[in-house]
Order: sequence, then C-alpha cells, then structure tokens
Amino acid sequence: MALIPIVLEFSQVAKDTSLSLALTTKGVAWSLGDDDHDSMGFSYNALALGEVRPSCIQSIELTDSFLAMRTIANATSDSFTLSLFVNVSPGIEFIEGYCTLNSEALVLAHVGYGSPAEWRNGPVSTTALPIPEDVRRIRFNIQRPPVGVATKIQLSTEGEQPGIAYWCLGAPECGGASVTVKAADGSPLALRTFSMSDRQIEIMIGSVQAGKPTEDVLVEAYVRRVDVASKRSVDDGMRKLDRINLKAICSAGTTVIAQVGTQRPQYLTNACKCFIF
Amino acid sequence: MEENFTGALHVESEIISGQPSRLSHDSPRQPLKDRSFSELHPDIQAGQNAQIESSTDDGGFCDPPAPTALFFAHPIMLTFYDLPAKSEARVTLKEEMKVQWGRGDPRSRLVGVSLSAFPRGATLSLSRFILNSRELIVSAYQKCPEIRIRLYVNTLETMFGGLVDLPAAASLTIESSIDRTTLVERGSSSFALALR
Repeated sequence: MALIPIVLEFSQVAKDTSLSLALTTKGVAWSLGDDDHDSMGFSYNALALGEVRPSCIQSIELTDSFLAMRTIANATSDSFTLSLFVNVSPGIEFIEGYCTLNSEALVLAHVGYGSPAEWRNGPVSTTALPIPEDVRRIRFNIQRPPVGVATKIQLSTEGEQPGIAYWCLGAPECGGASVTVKAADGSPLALRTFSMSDRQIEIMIGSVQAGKPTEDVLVEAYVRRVDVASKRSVDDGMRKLDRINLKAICSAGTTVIAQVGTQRPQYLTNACKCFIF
Repeated sequence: MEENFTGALHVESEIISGQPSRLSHDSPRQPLKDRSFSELHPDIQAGQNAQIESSTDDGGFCDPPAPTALFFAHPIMLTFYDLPAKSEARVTLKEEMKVQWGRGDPRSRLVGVSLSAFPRGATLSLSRFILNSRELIVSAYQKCPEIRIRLYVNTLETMFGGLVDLPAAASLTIESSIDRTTLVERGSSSFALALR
C-alpha cells in the first residue's frame, strides 16, 4: 500500500453547481493520510494561513472513491485548492477517474511528484508513483510581495547532520514535476526576476497597475538530500539527513508561508525554522 | 462482541473488503513517515491475523503478509455555531485513546466525510480547513452561523475523547449515534463521548 499525496487546484468553477471527482480504478481509494499528527490530511486552501479568502463552496463530501463539492450561487471567487491522499494497492501505478465539472472548469492535479495533469469534464487519468525518499516538495505562498524588492528563501542544514540538502528541479524518477512560480489566484503574474541556486531562491515582482496590490505568489520547488561521507560519524549508522532549516528574507509587509512535503504549512520568518525532512 | 454496537466493524484488508482501506502498513515503497494503526492494537492484531490470512486466496498480491487493523467506524456529527470572522476552531483527538478520524465504511459509495453550511445554500465561510487522522481545524473568514461536519471515528474503544479549542462566542455540538455534548465559549475544553 502506498499513500500518494494529491493536490487538486480547481479554477473557473461555475456558480451554483455540483462538481465531483470519482476514482474508477479498482484498488485505489481516497485517504485522509497517515497517522502523523502534523500531516495535511484532507484540506481546503491549506496554504491560505491567516488570509481572508472568500469561499465559493457550500458543501464538500469525501467517501472512499468519490469527492464532491457544491458551489454557492453568489460566489465572488472561482478557484480553490484541495489536498488529500490516495491509497494505492501494490502494483498499481496508474489511476483513472471521472470528473463532473462545468465545461470551463479546470483541475490541475498534482499526483505525487509527477508532472501536473490538467483535468477537465470527462474521464481523467494520470500516473501515480510513490514519492521518492530523498526529495521533498516545498510550496511557498508569498503574500503581498513588494514591487522591486527581492524576497529570498534560504535553505540550510545543521553541521552535525549526516548529509546536505539543496534546491533541485524535481524528482526525475517519478516524472516531470518541476519548479513552478505563479500567482496564487491564477491571474497573470508580473514577475521581474526569479533565480534559484543550491541554497537560495530569490524572487522579485515587477510593476503592477497603480493602486492595485501585488498578487500573492505561489512557488513550488524541490529539495533533495544527499549523503556526505565526510559529515558522517561512526554512530550515525543508516541515519540520513532528517531536518532542514528554512528562512525567509523579506520586507516587513510580506508574509511567507511554507509547506514541506505533506506537513502542515507554517509561517517563515527571518530566523531559521526547522522542518522534518 | 456486544450485539448493540452502532458502528460497523471493519477488517481493514483489501482481501476482506475489496477495497484498499487499511490505514497503512510497512511496505518498502512506503515513502511517508508512518505509524501503522495496527501498531496501536498489537493485542487485537495477534488474535485476528491468522483468521484473516486464512481467507487469503490470491497468493502473491499482498506480499509480505500485511499487518491488519481492526476497528469500528462510528458516525459522528460536529456542528459549529456562530464562528466569528477571522477565527479558528480546532478539535484534537487524544493520542492515548487509540482513535482516529476516518472517512467511513470502505464499501460506502456516497456517504463519508462531509462539510456543509446551513441553512442549505449558505456559503461555507471557511478560508481553510485541515482534517488529518487526529486533528480537525476550521478557519472562518466571515461570521458563520452554522457548519455541519459529518465524519467517522475509527476505534475499538467504547468512548472517545479529545480537546476542543473554540473562539469566543462560538459553540460546538458533538454527537455520536448514542451520545451528545455541547461546548461553549472561549478557550480549551476536553470532552468524552460514548460510542456504543
């Protein structure tokens, strides 16, 4: 049995309508995740920590193979994000389902660390491979980034850890997941610079229309851990790097929220914050 | 087993139920940090495993013999009243109680976890929610008169309990099929509820 994390980004959903996503592959079921206290489980807009984001949902239902939502008639937003898990029987590497959506609606499905699949109304499918042990996806929500000032996210590891970690482009062993930068609500993003080195991600937003606030930015990047023989001490045994530190260097009005793997999102500050790998 | 239990007893195995609903087991491919539910019930598991394995007829599909977890799934309804704007409420199950939130009967087609706003047609005014095996967190972005959350608890115990964190002026009713409790006002409160 493998638990595979799924992030579903719904956009352009119609008002006052029923949306559903049924899994049709035998041996595959929706799941609330493992017994980890800090796990994301089944969540709705989990990265919107401290945000006042209007909802367009009236009800949500989840059963073994069925996920259904109903939108409200006077919705002011048309997008939302759900995250959950699928429990996949051994030997199954491909899942199929059926989406019932309005014809404009779009679901961007991130299944494990494979390349995101774009699902529309009708039958849908994607590969579902377990996530690799040495790569973790980190999602950032940068709220109110300033114009023309860089926001930096730095990765570090403690000296006594038996390895190192660095930013990478994804996990080639499970398909084409890649680094992503976009506006959190799907609108066009005025990106001026984006740079990524081993230990630092730097992002700067360009000019926006006068009087309009800058869009929240969603960044998806990956961290890979490697063993370093010279850092390994005798009593480490089979121990691998199990903690990473993240730090955000940003201007005062900006808030950065980070989600490491399937753990719960947390605020990043300009002091190091420790995360379980 | 008592006759008058109200939840359904599940043997969490794809062989029995036809669905892969075991909470987890140690597979070499398992990439997630994992603590199997069956670890919480070593006593039960030892007694039941033989019986389950004897019903395995498709050799090879399920290798190695999977630890199997047994539990009752009890339907629970939580109703949050008057959540204020920009507030967060939290219901945490006690770790020592051997109990988890669940999404119901593995054979269930259309009944499982549900979150809905009342009255019908009202906005589910949540900016976010998180439901994992121990915790339920709901954050409202505007005043929310009533939210009903239906889910299950998976346990072998006859009671379950936990901790509730409520914002000011909000109240919460937790109802099992035979028992009910209502928690009011601010701060942390613990609760215990009979299940069968």
